[in-house]
Amino acid sequence: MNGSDVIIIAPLIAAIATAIAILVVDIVVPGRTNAVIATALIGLGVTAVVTLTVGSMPPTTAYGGAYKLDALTTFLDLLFVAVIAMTIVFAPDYLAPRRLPVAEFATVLVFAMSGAMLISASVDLLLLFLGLELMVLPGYLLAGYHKSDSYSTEGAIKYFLLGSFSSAIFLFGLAFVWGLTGSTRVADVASVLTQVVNHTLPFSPGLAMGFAFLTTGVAFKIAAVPFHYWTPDAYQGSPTPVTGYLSVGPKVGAFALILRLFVEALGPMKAEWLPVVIVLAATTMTLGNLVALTQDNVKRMLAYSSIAHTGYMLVGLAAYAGGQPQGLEGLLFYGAAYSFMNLGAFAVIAALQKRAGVTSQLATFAGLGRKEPWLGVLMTLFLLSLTGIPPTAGFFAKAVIILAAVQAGGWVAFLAVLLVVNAAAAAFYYLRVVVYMYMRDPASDAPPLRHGRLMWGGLTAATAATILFGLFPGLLLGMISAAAGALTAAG
Amino acid sequence: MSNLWYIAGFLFAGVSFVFLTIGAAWLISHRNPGDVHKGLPYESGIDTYGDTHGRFGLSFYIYALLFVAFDIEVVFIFLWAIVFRDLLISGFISMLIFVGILLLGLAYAWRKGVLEWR
Repeated sequence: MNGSDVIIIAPLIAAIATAIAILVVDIVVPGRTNAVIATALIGLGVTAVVTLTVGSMPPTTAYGGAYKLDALTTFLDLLFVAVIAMTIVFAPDYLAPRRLPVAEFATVLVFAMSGAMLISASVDLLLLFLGLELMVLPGYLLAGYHKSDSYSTEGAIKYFLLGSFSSAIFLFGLAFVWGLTGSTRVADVASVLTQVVNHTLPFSPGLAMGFAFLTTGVAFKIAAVPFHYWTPDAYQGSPTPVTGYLSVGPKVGAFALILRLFVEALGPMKAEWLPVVIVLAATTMTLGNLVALTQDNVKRMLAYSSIAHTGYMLVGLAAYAGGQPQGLEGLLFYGAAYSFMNLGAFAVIAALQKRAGVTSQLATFAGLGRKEPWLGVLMTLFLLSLTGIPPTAGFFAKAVIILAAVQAGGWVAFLAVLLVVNAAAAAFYYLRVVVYMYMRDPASDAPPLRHGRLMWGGLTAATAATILFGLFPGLLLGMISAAAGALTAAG
Repeated sequence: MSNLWYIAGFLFAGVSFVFLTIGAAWLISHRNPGDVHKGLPYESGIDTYGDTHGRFGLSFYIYALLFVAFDIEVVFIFLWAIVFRDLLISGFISMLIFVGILLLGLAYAWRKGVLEWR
């Protein structure tokens, strides 16, 4: 370890220091939610500034080439910080009425963020696995955060069992790849695989099995069909702010893992894994949407829709493997747009559930447009964005992916067609919620709730991001093309 | 094509390993049903007494967690002590930070009243 290494990993240190600071504040002044939230937001702000400062340095590596600082690292780190900050802001309105502590929630979330940040910077197989575990372990904890709620516990146990099972499969795959390429460094693995593609080295069956295990493990983490069973129960059972986080944080984190692993390490063999990604993407978006059509619980519906969105992002990956580097830009843009709009939608549900006992059934939304006009408008905006209607971020994200997929041609172009059909089908269940909000009478006469200032602030941020990235995608595209460029230059 | 044979062979070896070991144990072991001790759970050679489905206080798990934290600390400190001469001041500071974070965890547990026996 030397001085420059410490500077390069400064964003990680800032993240961990934030998590510790929240705990210290909770030890010194217990039960003061405002102090906790202020500490968390200041810490995350500092983390963002540190990330930007370090990110303005030229790309470099630390710790003997295991940790890489490039445009991709910086972009993903900033995205993770934004996701965590918004989740923390949305949480108190839901947690406080249920007497769930906010401090532990924030700490655990920030620790999960440090794991995601480690993934985005790792160019070493072992470090990737470490980051993955650091990201998902707090997720298990958070899923079961409402200890006295049996659904929360059930969801957490399912999430934990299948999650650790898939981690084991993933690790097994890593072991195969390490054993047969002789290195855990991503660059070395890629150079060995290039020789395999050029037939200077044989393509051993063990390597094929390693790829199969890696694909399975990662598919579990991003909840791709047929590895999605844990998703609906874990999402429905978790406390709503946690569901919002789970549907965004670990998913984008797992896609960061895919970028570092499949694009960078296994990039030379992309012709080999392209068919697998095509099948995964096609089944994932189709099945996710079909099942979402029949749900009458909005959280469960959004869980299945998040599976469908995984499929759309996989189309971006397929477009890259099909020879269109813009596919990666599409994937990254979709990840960012999806984070803001999905978190926003979950925030509205969390706001409605401020009154303890309110479920996330469709009936809860009946007449919302009249009872709480602002929440109704915002929910409509987020749902339109999830559908992919201009001028929202969701539209532009889909457009980039579809364009790249069409240009890639062949079976990937077929995926683009499937994506359009799926987006049209998805409009049905998203707009059904809008119909409930504006065309049904309220189920109860309960007076509208007062929502905290933090909640409104967070919703404003999510709205601003959803609209701005839709109207002026250039705000984000510069960073994204730099990030995708860093990846393709290395791969 | 030969690649597929490798995979088939691997599968066969994996599956047959299970059946071979169980079958070998079944073949080699001798069975005399008269010995009542054979049906008992093995408990260090002493006959078991009482109900084997004993119940633990759930509050033990926090002690187990704290134990794991400090157990891992020992693992790192041993290695650190061996190479301490080469690291000197930077190694000392690193370990200070590490132990400090762990102590903070203990302080947290203490403050939350976890260490009081209930």
